[in-house]
Amino acid sequence: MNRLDTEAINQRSPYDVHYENEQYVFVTDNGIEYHVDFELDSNPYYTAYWFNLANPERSKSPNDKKIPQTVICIIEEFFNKNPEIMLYMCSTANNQQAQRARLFLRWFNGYEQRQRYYIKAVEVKGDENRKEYIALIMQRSNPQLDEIVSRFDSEIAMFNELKP
Amino acid sequence: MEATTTKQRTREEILAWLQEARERKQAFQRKVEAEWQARQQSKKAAAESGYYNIEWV
Repeated sequence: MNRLDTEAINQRSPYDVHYENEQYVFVTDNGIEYHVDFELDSNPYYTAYWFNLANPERSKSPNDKKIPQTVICIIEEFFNKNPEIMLYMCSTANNQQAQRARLFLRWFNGYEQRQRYYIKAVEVKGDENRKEYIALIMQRSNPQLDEIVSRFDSEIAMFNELKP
Repeated sequence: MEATTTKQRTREEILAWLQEARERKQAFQRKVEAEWQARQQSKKAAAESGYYNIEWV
């Protein structure tokens, strides 16, 4: 993956983002740290990266609009430097993955450049009937958009329909 | 970036893919927490050492 340019991120990001230990880190006005990284996905068909967002203190930051704005700036820079696909899996902590999926979509749908991207969020029935929420995000300009979305949709549909 | 249309993964392969993604995500959270804890302990040790109370002049 091409490394992101934190100067470019910080031109628009409300929180200052720095690069540390292969992570993109920012600290909120309340002193809460957020760490972002992108990990190469293992699927054999296309290049994709899993987006990870972690808060080491597991603190809540309700109504801090600067957090989604900063995260969106990082994602935007990811796509500026990497033409590939981004995948996002919601944390299942406290069984709140559905709420997290809705929140992530709300963040993304509030983004002014949202039209540049295709986002598909799906529910999958994981192990022990646990529901997982996964989002696939890619630039609409990607020439393989239709092919990749079609593959993603058909695999997820097959997975959800077939019982083990 | 390359994509192929030749084959669809089996349910078992997708289950393994999801499991791997879940484990990686949890590992990232644990790594971030461990690094944060180490920094907090380092700050606490520095504060308790009295190092910053030294008057240099």
